[in-house]
Amino acid sequence: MIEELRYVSFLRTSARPVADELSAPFWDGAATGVLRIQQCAACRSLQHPPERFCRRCFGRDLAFASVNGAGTVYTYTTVRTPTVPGAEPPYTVVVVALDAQPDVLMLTAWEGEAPLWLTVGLHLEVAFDSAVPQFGPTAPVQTGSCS
Amino acid sequence: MTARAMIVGAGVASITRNTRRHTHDIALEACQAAAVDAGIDMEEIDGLATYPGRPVYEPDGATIAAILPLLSGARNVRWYAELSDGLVGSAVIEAVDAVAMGRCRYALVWRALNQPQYGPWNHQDWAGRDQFLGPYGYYRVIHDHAMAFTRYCALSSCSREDTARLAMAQRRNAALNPFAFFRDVELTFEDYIAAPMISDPLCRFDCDIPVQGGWAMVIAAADAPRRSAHPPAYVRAAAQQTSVMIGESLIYTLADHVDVGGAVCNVLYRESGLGPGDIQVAELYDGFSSSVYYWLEAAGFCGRGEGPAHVARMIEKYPDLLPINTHGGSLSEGRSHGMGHVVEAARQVFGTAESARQVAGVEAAIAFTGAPTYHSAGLILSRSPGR
Repeated sequence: MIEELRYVSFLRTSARPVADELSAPFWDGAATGVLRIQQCAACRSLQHPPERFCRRCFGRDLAFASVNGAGTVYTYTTVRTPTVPGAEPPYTVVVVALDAQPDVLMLTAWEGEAPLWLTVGLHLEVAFDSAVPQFGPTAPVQTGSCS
Repeated sequence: MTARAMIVGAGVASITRNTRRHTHDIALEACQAAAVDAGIDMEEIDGLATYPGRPVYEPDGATIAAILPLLSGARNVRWYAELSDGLVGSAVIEAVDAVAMGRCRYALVWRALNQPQYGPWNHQDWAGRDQFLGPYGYYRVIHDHAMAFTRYCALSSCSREDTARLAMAQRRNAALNPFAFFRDVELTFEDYIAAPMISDPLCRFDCDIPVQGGWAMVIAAADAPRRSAHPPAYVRAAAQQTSVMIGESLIYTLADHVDVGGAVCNVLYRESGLGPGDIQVAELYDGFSSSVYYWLEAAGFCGRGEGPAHVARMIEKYPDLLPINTHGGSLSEGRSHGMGHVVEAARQVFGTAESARQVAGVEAAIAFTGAPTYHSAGLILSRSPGR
């Protein structure tokens, strides 16, 4: 799967995520190539980042579910100014809405400017480049014709 | 509802960049100008309010502890409020409520900013909510605004020509404002298009200009004696929102940027009994140009996604003075976090904006501090106290 995702180069930074009690299952999952998102036992709602309570029903019984890593581009920006250590601009940060529950938003970051084919609504798949989940296209993207 | 508070004086300190001027001196200059404009002696000032934070609180934030000793004659203060969060709009509303409740009669409200130099963040370990942002190189306020605006442009027909037109119109307004940092600097279409992107689709001229600046007002109980040479601006409505809190979601969505502004505006219109058709001047917080469209839509001046077309129509109708951000906005006057917008709305209602900048026949003005999503607050000011 990772081989198929070489249409973009994922950004690598020196910014290390510090896992905590709430987020450890998320990062443990990512380290083994599984996308795990916090889920409310009562209303089944997914949420990210993880919280102590369900943001939908305020339930306190929360666990992590392995979810389908498919999503669509919600929006994106190309960053042109140095922001975090080890991240050389320009790079493009994309917000991905998960198909499993489209109000769950996650980030991915690609080296360089936004590709011409990058549009809101484009289909992406999760990939595990290092221990940080990323998203990219699974096939060459058809760019618009002149007709 | 009949107004229980009125703005009776407003002042602006000289707005500069890269000087060694202390924030306290800037705040003092603005306060003195506001008191003179109100015709109020410092002895009569019995309330103080400010928001001293952001960008940099220490070491020279214009706190009450720092400014009160400089306000010579202000020995009769019996009420004060210094906010630790909420931007300046909340401090203004605190003062409005305090005079309405009789806690004081003449409240002096100020906002002074220094000019921070932000570099990249250097820490390697990113904890809390930041653990989901830092590894993706995502951490600046502009990134949130750029993300929302990319989606806005994709869902509307907004183009760089539209944002260029808005930035140029605000710059033309700034040329009529003797305090505006960019009063003497023309902005052409070519300048805008050639400007470097900071976080696409926002370029340099879509960002407010960080300045050393100060703004102040005297807010009085509606039945307090008036001594100003101009009419007052009655506070017909004031509102703030907390419907979206930082940390609730990973990033602000476009809905977070637009819908929550509607909640503020609903309160403003309900409380004032006025509607968008009753308002002649709109001073809309513009830390980034995109927020102008969001506020126009939230306040019902146009429909959702119609902000750029509305601005284009207004520029065509009012080529010499766009009645939006008449002072140039933070894009061209300088970053005030919205205090410049409230001061300008008051001056438009007073009728004391310098002649070419004065909109004719102003009955009511609306002003917002903060982007819709970001601790925002709004006010409707009017010539009439209402019934």
